[in-house]
Amino acid sequence: MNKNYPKEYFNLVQDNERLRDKPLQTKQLSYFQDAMMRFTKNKYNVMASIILLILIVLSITVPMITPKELYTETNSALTTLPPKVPLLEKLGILDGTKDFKNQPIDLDSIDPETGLGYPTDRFNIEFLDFSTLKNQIVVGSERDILFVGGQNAIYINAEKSAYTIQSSFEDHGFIEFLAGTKVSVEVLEMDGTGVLEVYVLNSTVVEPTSWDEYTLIGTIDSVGTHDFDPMLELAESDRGLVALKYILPTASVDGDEFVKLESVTVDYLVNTDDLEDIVYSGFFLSNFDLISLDSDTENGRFLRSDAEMVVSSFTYDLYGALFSDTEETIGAEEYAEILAANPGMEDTIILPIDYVGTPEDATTYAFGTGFPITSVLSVDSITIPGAGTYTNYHVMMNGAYALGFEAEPNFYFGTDVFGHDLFSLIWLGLRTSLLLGVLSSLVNIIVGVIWGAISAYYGGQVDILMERFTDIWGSFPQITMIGIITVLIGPGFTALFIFLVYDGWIRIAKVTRLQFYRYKGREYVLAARTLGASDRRIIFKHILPNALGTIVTRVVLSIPSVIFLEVTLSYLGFGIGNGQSLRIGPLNLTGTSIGVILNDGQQQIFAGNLWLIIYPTIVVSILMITFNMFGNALRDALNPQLRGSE
Amino acid sequence: MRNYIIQRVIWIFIILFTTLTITFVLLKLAPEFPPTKNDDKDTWLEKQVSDGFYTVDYFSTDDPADMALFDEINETNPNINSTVFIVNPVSDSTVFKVFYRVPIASQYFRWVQNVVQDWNWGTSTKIKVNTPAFAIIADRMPITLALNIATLIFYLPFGFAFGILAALKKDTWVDNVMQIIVMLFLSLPALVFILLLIIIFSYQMDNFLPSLFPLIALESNWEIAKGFIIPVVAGGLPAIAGFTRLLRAELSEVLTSEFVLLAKTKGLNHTQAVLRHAIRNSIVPMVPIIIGSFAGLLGGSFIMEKVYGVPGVGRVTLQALATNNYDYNVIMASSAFYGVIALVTILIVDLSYGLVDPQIRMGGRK
Repeated sequence: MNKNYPKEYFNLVQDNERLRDKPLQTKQLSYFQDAMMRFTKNKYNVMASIILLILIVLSITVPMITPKELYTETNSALTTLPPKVPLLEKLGILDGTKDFKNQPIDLDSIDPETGLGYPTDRFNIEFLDFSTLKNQIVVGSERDILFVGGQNAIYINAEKSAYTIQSSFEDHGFIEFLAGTKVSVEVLEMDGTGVLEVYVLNSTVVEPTSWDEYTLIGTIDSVGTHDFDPMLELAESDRGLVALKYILPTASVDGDEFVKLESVTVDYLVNTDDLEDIVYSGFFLSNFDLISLDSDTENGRFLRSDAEMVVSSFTYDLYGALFSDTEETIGAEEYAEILAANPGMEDTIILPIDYVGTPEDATTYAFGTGFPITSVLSVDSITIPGAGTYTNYHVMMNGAYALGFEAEPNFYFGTDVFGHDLFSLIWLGLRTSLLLGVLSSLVNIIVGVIWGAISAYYGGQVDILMERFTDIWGSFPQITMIGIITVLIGPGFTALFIFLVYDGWIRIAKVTRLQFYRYKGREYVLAARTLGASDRRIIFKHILPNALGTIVTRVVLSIPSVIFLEVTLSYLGFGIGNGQSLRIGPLNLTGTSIGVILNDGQQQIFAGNLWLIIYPTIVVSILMITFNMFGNALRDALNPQLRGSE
Repeated sequence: MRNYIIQRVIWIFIILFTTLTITFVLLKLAPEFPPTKNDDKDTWLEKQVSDGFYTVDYFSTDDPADMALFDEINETNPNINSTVFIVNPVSDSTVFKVFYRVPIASQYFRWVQNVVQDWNWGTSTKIKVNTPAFAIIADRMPITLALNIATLIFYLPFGFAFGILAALKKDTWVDNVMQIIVMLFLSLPALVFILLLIIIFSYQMDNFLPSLFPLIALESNWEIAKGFIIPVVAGGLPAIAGFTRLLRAELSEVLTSEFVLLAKTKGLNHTQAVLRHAIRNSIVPMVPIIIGSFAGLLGGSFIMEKVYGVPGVGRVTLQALATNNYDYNVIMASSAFYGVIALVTILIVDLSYGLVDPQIRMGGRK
């Protein structure tokens, strides 16, 4: 291994020159550049931070650029419109249609071919998607005309012995009794030992007060159809009401005795146009009046069962129906005004293809798209001698124009029950939630840092006392605190704010205290103290900057939980609500927050207006997730110990 | 250890006593809201007099001098219907009554005396008029506790399964997907879960599950069991996510220990080493977390109860807080309920640290 190296092989690096530190060849990084580098390292976190930034920007700009009346004024025509997004509607989603469920059908509308019916009263069938139409039968006991068929049962209550029903005057008026009129009652089931008595109340009696005013025409004690001839007891052409009284020989014990009826029929021998058989069954039977002349012995229930209602489910184009053209008649003056207000409108007139004659004389023509009037159907001119000629235009008005829009609007997130645009409402609510979150976090930091700093810096007795205080203060059950604040202040901005800060600072104080304990024994603190620095200077100039990273991260991570709490409290009604407002400088915060929107939306779930829940949920979830990821990224970035790792 | 427990129990009593005192004093600063009906109001205020919170003056309608005095009070007293209440003659009596609230300090001492000696928390003014407030809370305790225990039982198996799975598959796509889901579930407010579950299982599936908690008196056990599903799942999902995250972290740490390495050197494969050696050691620190989560679930359950209409302690407390219909005695009783449960849970958690891991000596000196 011995090798000889000649002397020339070596040369002195430094002879009589002094050796100095050379400037670093690599670029030096400042603390923030370094932090930024670590921050951008994790692509997911950067993405999340960008999304968060977009959310914040949207929450500031959207309420500013949207016309205020879209989210402040109640507009009953626009209530609960589903979301509609221009491009996505071509894919068949978010196209302004809504799936309706359980809509009672109009029985006359049943198509003989398919056997399917649909409601006609609130829907414009032109915009109903028939390929999605389905019918379904719902069995119920409601006393409602939409329910068909079923039986009705007279029950007698416990400790009572009779109960009576009587045909309703509102349904058929008085029943005419003519020669040969037959009253038949179909009884399906009888429970108990009682009998069913059939009476007629003569129309001359205004308010029956005793059973003497009723005429007994028959008694039923078995199931089946029973016919009675009322004319044995009544005079020709008497009018009146039929009453059925179920009587038990002894008072009921459990209130379980009943008689179940299918129908009550008044049968005339000869039917004419104004004298048809009257059949009380199903709904009309259930609509009988309940009579109890002697409240000591007579009382019971009259219950319907097995009634059926046909309901339909279908997809309906709400935007189409709302913004479709409507027929109107307007005067010549108004017509001229509209033409004058829309220059160029006259140039777009399209005449019918088969029209011959001069364009000026045309009475049927259409306008191009984008104008208040889509077409003119006819023009009437009436000449009144001495007064001149009046002209009326029968026109199709553009639906959007009739509702005060230039063109058919697109509500990206739909509208709520008040007709507010949910899109701008959500950003408005988010702005309130965010501002409250940031403001209360600010208060939390200030109080928490000061408290934790003092507690840890002085230590000893002071520390113990302050710690015990936070122990007690922090162990107030949340719900108790809600109680106290609500009772003393009442729901609103102030209460909500107090609630967000009353114990939020404790966590920050704990973190600060821990950080201070770590740093207060360091040599540089001792050096500062030896030089005569005041306590305040040592705390804020020497210790706090070192502990800042951890504290800042904690604060950022606490903002989502504050928003979380705000949403929950406003939802429960202990925070803010619609109609409240708060002015902070140039900013006017409204009482709308995500929690309030969710609260309003919850009542709409069963009306099928799901977007009122889904969109606020999505927005608040994205906010929470991105805030958390941003906080995590910040924690990594502000922790110099992570330098060079990964 | 014994001294530590005694010390902690005393501390719990001090905290509970202080919070209840502060609550009592603050609530008494606000105006009183007695029952609205004259008869109920009379019964309630007379009970308050016998409990020592009010004094009463009687004014006979037969005596003109009395009536003049009464009218004067009725018209001029500034605190009428806030701390001074007038009761019109009840049924056959001919006596107007005027009730005055005694100063807060003496009310407070009587209240402590009533609670300590007779367990008398006062009677309700609004929820169930003239029923003992504590009985109202006690009535609803079973359902609240049942709901929370059901949530606990629901979330534990899933939490364990997902936590172990995430740790076994650490840094694979399974783990990444699970991390995203965990993040999502931890970020969502509980009320959002319950609303979404109602939408899916109740609206979209045509009342497959009830949209509101069924009435206990009317429905069968089967229906009530179905009513538990939505609140239990809604409360359990964030808990599963949180537990998964903690168990994954804990298990990952244990997996780097020497004894796992030893187990592997013996010839066990990774899964065997985890299931037979690592899990046991990582479960130990989870025990206090599981116990502690009970208090967390209970604290959050009043939202579930309110949204889903579960007739539990939380809902009744929120009812007692209806604007200008406050029922102070019920609020006090439920504060005590929530306070005791939270503090006792913290105590058990502290003690369990020492029990499950002998290395930890709670309260031990250096």
